Amino acid sequence: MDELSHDDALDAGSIVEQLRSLVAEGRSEYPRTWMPRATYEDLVVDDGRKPIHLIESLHYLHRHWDMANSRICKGIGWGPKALVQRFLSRIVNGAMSHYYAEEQAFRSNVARAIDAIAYRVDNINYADQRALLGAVREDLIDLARHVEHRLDGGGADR
Amino acid sequence: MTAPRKRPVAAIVTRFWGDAQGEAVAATRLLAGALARHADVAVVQLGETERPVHIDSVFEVHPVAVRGANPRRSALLRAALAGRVAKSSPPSAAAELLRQYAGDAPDVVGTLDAIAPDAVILAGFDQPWNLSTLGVPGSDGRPRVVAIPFLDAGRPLRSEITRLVDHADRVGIIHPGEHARLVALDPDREPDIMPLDLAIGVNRHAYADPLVGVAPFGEYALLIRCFPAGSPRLARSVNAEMLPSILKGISVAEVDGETWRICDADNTYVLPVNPSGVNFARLVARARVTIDARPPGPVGTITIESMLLGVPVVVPDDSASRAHAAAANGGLWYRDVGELFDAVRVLVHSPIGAKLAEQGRNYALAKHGDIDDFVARTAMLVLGGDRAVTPVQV
Repeated sequence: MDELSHDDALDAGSIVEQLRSLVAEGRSEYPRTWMPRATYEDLVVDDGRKPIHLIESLHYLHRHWDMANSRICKGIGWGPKALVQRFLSRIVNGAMSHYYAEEQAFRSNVARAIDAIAYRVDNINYADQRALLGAVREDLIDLARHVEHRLDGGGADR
Repeated sequence: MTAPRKRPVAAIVTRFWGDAQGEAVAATRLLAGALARHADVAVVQLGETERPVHIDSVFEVHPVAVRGANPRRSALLRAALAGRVAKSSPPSAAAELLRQYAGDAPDVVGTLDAIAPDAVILAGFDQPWNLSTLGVPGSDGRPRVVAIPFLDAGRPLRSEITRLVDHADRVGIIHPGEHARLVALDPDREPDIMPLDLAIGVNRHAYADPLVGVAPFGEYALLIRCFPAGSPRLARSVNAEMLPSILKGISVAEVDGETWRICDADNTYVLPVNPSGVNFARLVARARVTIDARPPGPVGTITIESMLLGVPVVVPDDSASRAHAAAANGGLWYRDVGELFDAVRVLVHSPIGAKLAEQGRNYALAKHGDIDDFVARTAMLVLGGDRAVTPVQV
């Protein structure tokens, strides 16, 4: 950098060229990795979307929607407390069995519905990306057809 | 007692209108505002629908639907074609596809007939309607037609630019780089090309009132990854973590959409964001250098703002910003991240930075610092004659 000119009126273009010539001589201080310029960037800028069906809460719902075992109180051991717990559990379950069956069915349907909505949202979310890829494919096919036409002796472009 | 002169009517036909963020929209509005000093301005807004999607309280807007347009496909194909050798003609199949993707807006003709303008401004190369209905340049009864192609608002084919220019009496350019490109297309039209040199309003007092939280970090380089919030952003680009180790001894402020921060080797502080842009001007005014790491825009507004505030710039090569920096000798430009690092180090650690800052400021003040000059230039370009000298009284 010390070799750069310090004239009264500086020409920015010549400074850039001098910097580039230093790099070309292998005197650069940094690894010069290439970073692609914006081409498709603005079109796929939102591409880092996490699919909803990968959300941890949905997996928890899958694992825990079935709570049938939780309402069966087996008690621990054969002491009086355990015996009373089993007795009460049998009474409560007997009285509430219809409600519990309804609730179990409701929970399973809620889990299925949330699951279906998650996959549907993911599908909608990625539909535009699929459309984009479809459009690229169609354009490339059109261009390939044109190249074939030119190779077969087609006319000039413009 | 003489009767008051009738104000002329100017119609702007453009896609660059409405509430969308973008340099082209802001520039077109600026143009309309300047023109309104001398003429009644009507805007024919090309869009997806004939219904107004944006209520405009200042200008008379006539929404016209573009039917069958496919802007996403068009952008993809243009991006693919941009990788070709610059001087080779694109395949005719590609040109035909682009014509299809542009759609059709036949209602523009009827709308212009109803407005009956004295001057028509074609803002943007994307004009999917029959320009021949404007008549032959120079013929009697035809409105004065001015094309402002915005060559960097997309990747226009040469045929698209030629079509626009051929139907225009005058051509306005947004940045100095457009001049050479237009002259290369048709050297005979060089006398008809006029620079607009947009007047960019900046808070000249921004330096007096630094942004809260910045002072403890000392001198800093300003890295802009996304501004204004919601505008396009490169997913992979240099960021605030990379720069302090490269610059050594100087902090880095980063503007990334709605997240602004300043950091040195050890500390990071999240800065307050103000959508009005006041804080942005404060941040720019105190910076040693402004690094523009955004996707290149068609106008280079931030480059001009930065130079007006006396801060040198580091901008992408092959962009409108580069054209301003080169014309002003007010900054350097880069092709890759290595060149970006080199340029920033030169500006920060040598007297070259201060010299380029001074040159850039002088140029920006002369070219972009006077709103009255800009109004006069716009009137001269669009209305011709002596409008700039004797504005019509309302």
